[in-house]
Amino acid sequence: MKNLAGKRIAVIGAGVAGLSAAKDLARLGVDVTLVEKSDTLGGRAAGYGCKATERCVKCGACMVVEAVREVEASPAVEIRLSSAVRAVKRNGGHLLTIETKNDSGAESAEERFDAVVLATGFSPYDPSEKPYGYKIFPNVVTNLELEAMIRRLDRVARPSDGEAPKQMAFIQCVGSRDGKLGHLWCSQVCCGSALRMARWVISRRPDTEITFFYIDVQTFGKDFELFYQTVRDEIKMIRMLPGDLYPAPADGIKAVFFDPESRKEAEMVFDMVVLSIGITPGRENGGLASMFGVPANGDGFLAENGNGTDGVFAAGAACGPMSIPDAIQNANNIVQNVVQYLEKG
Amino acid sequence: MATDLELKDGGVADNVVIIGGNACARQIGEKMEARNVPVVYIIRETAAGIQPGANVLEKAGVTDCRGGVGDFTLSVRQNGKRFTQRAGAVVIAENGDLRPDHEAYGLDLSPRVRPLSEIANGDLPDTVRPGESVAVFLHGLARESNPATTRTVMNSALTLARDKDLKTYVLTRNLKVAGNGLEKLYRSAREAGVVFVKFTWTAPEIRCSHQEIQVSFTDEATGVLFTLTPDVAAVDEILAPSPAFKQIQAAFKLRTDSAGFLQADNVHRFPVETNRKGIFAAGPARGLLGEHAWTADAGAAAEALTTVLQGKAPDSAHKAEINRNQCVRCLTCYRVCTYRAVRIDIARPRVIPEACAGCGVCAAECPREAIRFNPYEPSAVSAGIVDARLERSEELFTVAFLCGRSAVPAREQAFRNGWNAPPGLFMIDVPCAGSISVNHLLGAFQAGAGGVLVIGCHPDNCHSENGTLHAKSRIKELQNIFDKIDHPRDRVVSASLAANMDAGFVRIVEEFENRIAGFGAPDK
Repeated sequence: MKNLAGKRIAVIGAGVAGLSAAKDLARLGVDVTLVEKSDTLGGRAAGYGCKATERCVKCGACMVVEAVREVEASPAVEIRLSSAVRAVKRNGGHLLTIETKNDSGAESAEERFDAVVLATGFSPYDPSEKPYGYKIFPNVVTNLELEAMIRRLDRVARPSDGEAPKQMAFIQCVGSRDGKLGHLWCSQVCCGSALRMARWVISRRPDTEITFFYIDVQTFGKDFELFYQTVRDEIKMIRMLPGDLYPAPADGIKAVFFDPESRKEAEMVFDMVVLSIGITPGRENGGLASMFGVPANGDGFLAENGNGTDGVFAAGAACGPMSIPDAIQNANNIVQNVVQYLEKG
Repeated sequence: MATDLELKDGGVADNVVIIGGNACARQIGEKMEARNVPVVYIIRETAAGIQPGANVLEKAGVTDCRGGVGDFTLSVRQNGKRFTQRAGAVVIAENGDLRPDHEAYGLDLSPRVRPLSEIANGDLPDTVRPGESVAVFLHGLARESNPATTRTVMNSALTLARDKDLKTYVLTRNLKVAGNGLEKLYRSAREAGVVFVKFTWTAPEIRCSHQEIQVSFTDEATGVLFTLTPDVAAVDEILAPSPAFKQIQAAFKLRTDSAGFLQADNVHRFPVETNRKGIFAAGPARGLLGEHAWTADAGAAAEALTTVLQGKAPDSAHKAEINRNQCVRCLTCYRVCTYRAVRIDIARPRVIPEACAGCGVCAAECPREAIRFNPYEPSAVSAGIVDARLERSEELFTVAFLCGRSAVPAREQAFRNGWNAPPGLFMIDVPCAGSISVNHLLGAFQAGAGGVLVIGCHPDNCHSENGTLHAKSRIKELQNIFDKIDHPRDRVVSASLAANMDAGFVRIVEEFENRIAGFGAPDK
């Protein structure tokens, strides 16, 4: 293997995949510039809570903290927060115009890199267009908002009054597996996120009644069979998505749905509803695809491995829905491809 | 073959040993050979499919693995001969057993009842007639399936319906579409005429005679009763550890998951690490199915191998060291070391520094206190606590031992969030909660602590696997002593959290401080 010292790589995006790629490339002696548009490292997963009950449930959210610490400590990684790539020129290497926001506006600089890794992540589906009263009913939140609540508060609080919910519902596949939206994909992570959170809530407050509306429960984790058995004991599972949500007294939410067992319309009232919103292609994917000449698929996700022959790679949820462990595995694999590319050059 | 791999100082073996010869193993080998790293395959069967010219030990197995990263010595058995093989790093990509789960449905395999892979390969019974025959996939009914198997089922069903014109049914519970392209494949299969029947609170009844298979069920959506008499039925295959896994596990002293795959179910091992530095598990060896997963693992393994062979993997700052004069060779350290970093040299245990991850569990467990783990020696730590007590004027003085993997990052984030530590609290950062011995705890109480808190990682989330459990058992030990001397047992408290639980950290510390305040300052 050739010595990679002196090679320069730009990693765009400092979420799970970007951090993993940056730290692994840095270990191999490559100079990494990590470009992140927000003002913190960690990406979306940095907002996810630990869902361990009596033991770890293997969601992987804590691994983001570890990756951030390694990247921050690595002398080989130059971190550019509040920054974005504005233009790309191909001239021997990849000449990127990186714009960094600062107190007095923004400044831009042109820098040359030997290869680029796009790890720009996903955009969560906006459920406002669904008949679920999101942003209208105070106690309808998304799974990402519930994750953030667990992360920041270490407890679940109804937005309307800060009280712990007693009757919670999770509605799956909001914006996923949806022909009307043209979202013909499973977001892969929401069953795991929702059911782990549901069990976490029950472990903290065993009297909480939880109902789970779903199409198909997806397998996650190694001991899924056991986990799923417990879930079915603790949680009311209804294999149907509610048609509509209506307001109910005391900031409650009434769900109307076709009950598959009785084959009749039914309704239930909850004091908090969690919408498991889907993973959709990053809003910038289109712009990145044309700027870097990386193909995007018909759904708008970037091609895995990007445009590897030209030194532009893509990794993580920019390429499609993936869990935290999958994004790490994917980034590791992409680093291997980057190294192979650099060795040739 | 010459290597231009940049070796770490003192490294003696610059090669990779790959256990297994499947597609995942071969991809790893090809990637490493492409960068001029010598590769040796050790394969239980013959070397079919491996590129010509590769260095292969076929019909061979490993019986023992000693040493640390950069310098492993494997004992190999081949054709009754025994010899040793050096390795800089090892990756295990051994095949598991794909077992058809027909028994779960009370079926025997027959020309009509076939494992999924045979149907996927187009191997159909002669009795199947295009346009007339019925095919049924019994999928994920006996146990929850996975996207890789669902992909094979849907591809096969699509082919049977579209190309063979069979009436094709997929009977399942939860359809596992959590894989790229699977929702679209599901829709294509339905458009091609495949009927998916999903069961939630009922299950199909399956009967089998010499003449026919009969599958009866009530469609849950309509309540209508159906009976199918398929000409061919495909049953799922379950990936299980092969019998060789046990032997590999014993030879390499690997931690396994609950099923027996060769990687503990611990997020810190993902994707391809094991409990031993420089030994990796990839693809089927860690329980993965599917071409996509194997390819991704092969890349991840090649990346990990490259990193360790260059000595670029992160290493711990501190290493345990055994004092030979104090050691009575009880081998406690050998038993408790998750990383297999203790070797026995002529009946004497010795720490292999390259393998040691610096968790300190051995030092805390050693009944003779014969293991030095600087700078976390109980005497040094206790001296620090005494100084801290002198610096504090608060009546109530408390001590917290914090695991550097979880509690320390959580505290750092809590500080960034604006948290102020209680002024009477002295916090000590340690590499692992398992490094806390009874002496450390007693040292804190002797220095005047009214309470001692130990925070480790959640069970199954410890880098050293059992650090938190070790800490908890020592705390119990001390609590039993407290019971005997009529001292409140809850003055010593253990808790667990993860690195992203800054809010949880604050809650745990507050609860602890309140509890100890309730007991008041200890008697002088």
